[in-house]
Amino acid sequence: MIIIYKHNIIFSLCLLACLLSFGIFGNVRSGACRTTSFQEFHRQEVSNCEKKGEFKKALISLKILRQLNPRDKKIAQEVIDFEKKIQSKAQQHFNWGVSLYNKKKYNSAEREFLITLRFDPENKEALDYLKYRAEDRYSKFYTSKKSDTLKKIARKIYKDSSKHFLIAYFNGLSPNDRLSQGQRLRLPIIQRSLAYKRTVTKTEVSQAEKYIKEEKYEDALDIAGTIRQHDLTNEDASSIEDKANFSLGKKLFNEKKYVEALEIYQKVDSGMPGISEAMADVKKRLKKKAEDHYRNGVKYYLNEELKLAIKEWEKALKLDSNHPKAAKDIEKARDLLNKLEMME
Amino acid sequence: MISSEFKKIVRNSFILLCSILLTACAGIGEKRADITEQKPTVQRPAPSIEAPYDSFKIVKAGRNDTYTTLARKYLNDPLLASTIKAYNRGRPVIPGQKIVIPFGQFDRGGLKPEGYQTVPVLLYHKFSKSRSDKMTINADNFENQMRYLAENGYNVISIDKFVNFLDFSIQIPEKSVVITIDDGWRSFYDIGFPILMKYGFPATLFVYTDFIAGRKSVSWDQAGEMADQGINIECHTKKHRNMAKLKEGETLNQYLKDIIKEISYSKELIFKKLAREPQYLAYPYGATNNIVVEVAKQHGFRAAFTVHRGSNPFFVNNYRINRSVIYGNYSLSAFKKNLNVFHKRRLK
Repeated sequence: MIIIYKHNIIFSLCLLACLLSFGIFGNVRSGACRTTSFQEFHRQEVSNCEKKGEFKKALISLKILRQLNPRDKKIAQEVIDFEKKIQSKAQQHFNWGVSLYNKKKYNSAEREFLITLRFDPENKEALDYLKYRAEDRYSKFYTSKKSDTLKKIARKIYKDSSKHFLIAYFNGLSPNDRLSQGQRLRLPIIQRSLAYKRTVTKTEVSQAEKYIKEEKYEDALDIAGTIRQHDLTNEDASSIEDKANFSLGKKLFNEKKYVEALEIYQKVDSGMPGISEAMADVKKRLKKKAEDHYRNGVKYYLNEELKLAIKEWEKALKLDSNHPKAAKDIEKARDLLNKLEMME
Repeated sequence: MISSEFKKIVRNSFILLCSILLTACAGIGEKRADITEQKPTVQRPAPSIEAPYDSFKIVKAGRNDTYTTLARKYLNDPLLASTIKAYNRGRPVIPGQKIVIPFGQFDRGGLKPEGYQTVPVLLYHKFSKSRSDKMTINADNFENQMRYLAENGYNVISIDKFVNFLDFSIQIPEKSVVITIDDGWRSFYDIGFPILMKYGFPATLFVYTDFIAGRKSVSWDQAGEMADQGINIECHTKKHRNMAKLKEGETLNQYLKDIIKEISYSKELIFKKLAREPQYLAYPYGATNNIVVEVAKQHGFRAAFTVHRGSNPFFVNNYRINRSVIYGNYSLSAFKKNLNVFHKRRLK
């Protein structure tokens, strides 16, 4: 009787052990496997994104790792260091942007402010320069002096005191309001026939052409940008841009930077002599390079080196976005990689 | 004896099995608690500017989850599927796998190392069943264009979302497009509107109020009906005058008064008729100047549209937004040329 009872207990305990090992431990093991894979993915993302200059994405992956490993002091420190690095980069680009802006190199300044916001989307000053101060460049400002009235200012600025109502309207005042000394007023630009065209000086055009010869393309484009701020459709500005971009495209082509060359050529007016041939030439080179990368990818794929294959195909796609096979093959390889990860 | 012992074994095993099952259930319970995020009882707020740009939550994907279901569950907007997908670097959703749900606006402005997002704003005028000319598009062409957008991953977004994007306060899906229609022709209600509804696309109708309720225009009832179904009814002035030019013999004082009237009267009338306050203005002929812009600002418009062809980055001037007129005689390939959704520029 006692023996049977003991057997009963032993049998039941064995059953429990079996179930536990199959159920709970099995679960824990597979859960751990998935966690590792998820963490590994984000660990890789940190270094991949950092390499590509996508610091914000890298930081997010680091923060995901920190959340999954709340007691890991090393990761916590990495997050802090990374945040500092991003802030410092943002500040550096912002300072460059301000310096270029003050030199009236608006096109180049715009680029620096965009980079600042890419690193630090909360940087309100960069946003202000980029979006709102641009409007100020279309406006005139006037600081009132002792005994100034709206009529006096209108006479001084527009040679017509009756236009004082416009100054009042632009500044939320009534036409007969008194002004205080030092009051900053925004003045409307009254365009001739309300269709103002800015006259482009010969010096500006020849300076731009000089810059193009000296391969200072950004400076030439800045001159065109300044003209366009007042006259969007100005033909001189278009001509400077076309010449600068065409020359820049040729330079990039000679340096074998075909993707960049194509981007620049695409900005040039399609009617410009020589541009169609230049574009066809770049496209031909890009297709060839894309095909080379595609074939390398196939070799890697056949050797079961899926990640390398994907890299090669991505390069092929970057060079030729209409590549007939690369996109589908990347998808297939990624599916396969995911399945393999799940099986591990 | 044996049979009674056997019964005991069976009974004890049964009790043990039950306790194991209970433990297991408790385990499942824990797991459920872990996955409660999958079926939130309380609707979570959509990503907002208040949340830090890098705030997120890690959840486990359920059996039938896709990026769209996750976007609906956690961000209250299935259109944000691409946002979650981008955040998870395009990894496929596999049941049981961890997925990161972003709560902050991590990609405002669509800024990338290789350039930035741009949004095309398309402009239509009249519609016809079969005839087409420069300002009139026929039903087949319009449907082909809408189908092209639907089948090629474009996201047609509302004007509100678009202007929030311009204000750098929200991120919008990649390949976002805005659809606008000017004037308020009746043919839009009869032909264009049903096609937009078929594809579930929001759009904005800019009306000039002197034209509305006429023989060839939509009525206020029709405008209201469309407004109830996702069409924003916005301002295209009162009489459709060219606001960038003085009329013959008009003084500057008369000009300013008339511009104020063009803008304020139409805004008030739309509000009176539809009980919705217009927030956006389309300049007739796309023509504007700094005086008109000032009047628009002072009347509380958040943004205003020209007809300058081109797509818009977030830093475009809100009162000089580009719009591309889609002429009725455009082929599909000519239409596609107006869908530039990214501007390449080295930003690193």
